[in-house]
Amino acid sequence: MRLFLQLTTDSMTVILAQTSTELTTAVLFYLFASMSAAAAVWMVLSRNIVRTAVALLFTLLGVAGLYFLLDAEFLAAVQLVVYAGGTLILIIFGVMLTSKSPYSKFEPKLVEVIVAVSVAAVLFVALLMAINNSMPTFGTDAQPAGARYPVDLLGQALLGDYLVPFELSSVLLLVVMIGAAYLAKGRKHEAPPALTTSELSRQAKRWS
Amino acid sequence: MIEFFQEHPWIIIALVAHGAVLGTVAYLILLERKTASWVQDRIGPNRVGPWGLLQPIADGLKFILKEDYRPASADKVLFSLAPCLMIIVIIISIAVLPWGGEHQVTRTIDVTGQTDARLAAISHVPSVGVMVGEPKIEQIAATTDAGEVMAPARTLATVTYRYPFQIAKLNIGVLFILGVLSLAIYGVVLGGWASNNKFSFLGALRATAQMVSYEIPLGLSVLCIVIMFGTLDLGEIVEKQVSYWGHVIPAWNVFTQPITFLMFLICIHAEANRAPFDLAECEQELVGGYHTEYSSMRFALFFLAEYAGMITTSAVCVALFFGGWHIPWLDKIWPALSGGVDPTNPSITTSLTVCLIRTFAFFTKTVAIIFIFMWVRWSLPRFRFDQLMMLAWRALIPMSLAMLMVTTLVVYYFGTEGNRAYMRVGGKMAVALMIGNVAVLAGTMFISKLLPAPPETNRRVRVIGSRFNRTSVAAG
Repeated sequence: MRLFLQLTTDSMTVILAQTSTELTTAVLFYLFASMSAAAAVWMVLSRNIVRTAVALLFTLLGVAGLYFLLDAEFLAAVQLVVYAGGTLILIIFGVMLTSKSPYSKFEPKLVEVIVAVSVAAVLFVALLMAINNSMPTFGTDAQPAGARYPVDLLGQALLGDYLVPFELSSVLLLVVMIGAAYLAKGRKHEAPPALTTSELSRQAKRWS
Repeated sequence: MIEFFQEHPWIIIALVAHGAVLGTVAYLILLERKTASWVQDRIGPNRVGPWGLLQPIADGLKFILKEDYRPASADKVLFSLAPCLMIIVIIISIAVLPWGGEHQVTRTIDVTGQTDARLAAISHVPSVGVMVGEPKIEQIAATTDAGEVMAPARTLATVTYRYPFQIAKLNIGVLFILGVLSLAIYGVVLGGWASNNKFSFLGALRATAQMVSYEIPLGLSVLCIVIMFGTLDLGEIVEKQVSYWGHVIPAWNVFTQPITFLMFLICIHAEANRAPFDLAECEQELVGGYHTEYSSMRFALFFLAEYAGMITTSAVCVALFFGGWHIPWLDKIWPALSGGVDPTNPSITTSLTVCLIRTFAFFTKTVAIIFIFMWVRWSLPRFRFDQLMMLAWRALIPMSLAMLMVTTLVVYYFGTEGNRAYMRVGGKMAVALMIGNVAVLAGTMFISKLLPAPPETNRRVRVIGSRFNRTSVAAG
């Protein structure tokens, strides 16, 4: 019995040690990739606007997971904050703009379907060609273990070499924000003029 | 198996940390009820077990036995997905909390018969660990006694490595937590929407508006600390607070950044959706807010997520402002508590006990912050929605921008020169930051006098009988 236990724990140790890094990476890769792909399909097929947005959220989450697997942690976290967090606003827009019935559905016309499919087909072909032209050679230029993308280098690049594009895009965002605030503000509600004392007393007489 | 856990320490840390956090949640609910009763001059739950200590178990059993109700017209998929999403997100965010610094281990491994002894030794270093120096390889000749081999020849390798005493050490830890916790709102929004109940949905919309507003000051106040230390790694931020000013005051950020700390505390209150920021559930107006239609374990998941989220955000607060695992003054008596291995990096320790003591200290501080949450909840009334928005947009965001400016200037003029990796807040910089804090506070008080009064949100209807019309009293 003791020998058996010893054997089991030994073999377990060996199996677990072998299965450690590479298999985990592979399993996680397929998990995140299939999650992204399945959610993307769900997004396209779903007719409910909120469900569509939720599917988009899961697609973006899967991509963030892939970034983590590639050790691009900063990119992954930014993906979570900007894209996955931003989907929230999409949901709210979807809900508030289609608030006539709680479960309003997409009912695309035939023309819309044809246009959408053709645009998607063109984009897909372009993507395939781009991948084909710049096919990376997998596995040859693997980065050394432990090499990470330091965030401070990224910051120095943004505020050094790429300062002008960075500042320009910030100004653009600021302009958009101010414009949105201006549009949202709209016209002021005009407060009813305060009644004078004489009017008040007249009102009081009328009501009493 | 023991060897496996030695080489994968994060697995056991993950199991223990998650178990501990989720177990603590149950007792936090008891603490909440006890705190409520103390505030309201009651006794609180005291029937199940001594001092009501078994109450959480009774609560859990009750949750399991309740009917799992789902409204007929609810969106079936999203209704179930919402609580799951919320709890998953909160559980993931526990991963980067720096519980106990770094543990340095020296192991002797038998590598007899391996072709490359060095590589064989290195393969035993955990994947999350970093090797210190080169492995020492030792040949032990066979001992023979009268031609008979007593012990065969062996090759021993001594390898030293350190691994972080946390589940995952990310170099962007703070950003990760902010990003992941910002997803918790999806649970609220989807739950509220999928219930197909107008009260639930109103709660969800309120939660969204609140979240969008309070994420900004939260991020900005975290950014102040990040700029001070030049790192996004929570473990490093903790490690750089482990020193003293004038050998007495611990170099915690709460002393150099009190305004930032207060803003962070307010924002994590808003993030947790708790009173005085609980407009999303607001019993008096919205029945139960986003979880009106939830019962049984689905509701329990929402509850669990709220408390586990409190633990995470409080732990981040402790790591950012209260020196994480640092136990002040005790390490003067027992220096091993703060390093002893590498004078430039006090987080490294060779003792597992020290790691566990640090974890305990970290957790105790976290619970202390959580107690503030409960204290506030049962002491302050709820905000009105316009007050909530005004606090964020007219107070917290401008102040956090001002604090960011002050911190940047101080770091620029007083930041430690030289090796960035060991940057700490020196005495001069601390004084400059305190002056900056006072200046921001004084400036805020001065400017707030000059600002136009907040717009009147409740339009005063000046008709007779209205409480805004004084003449009605006279006329009546």
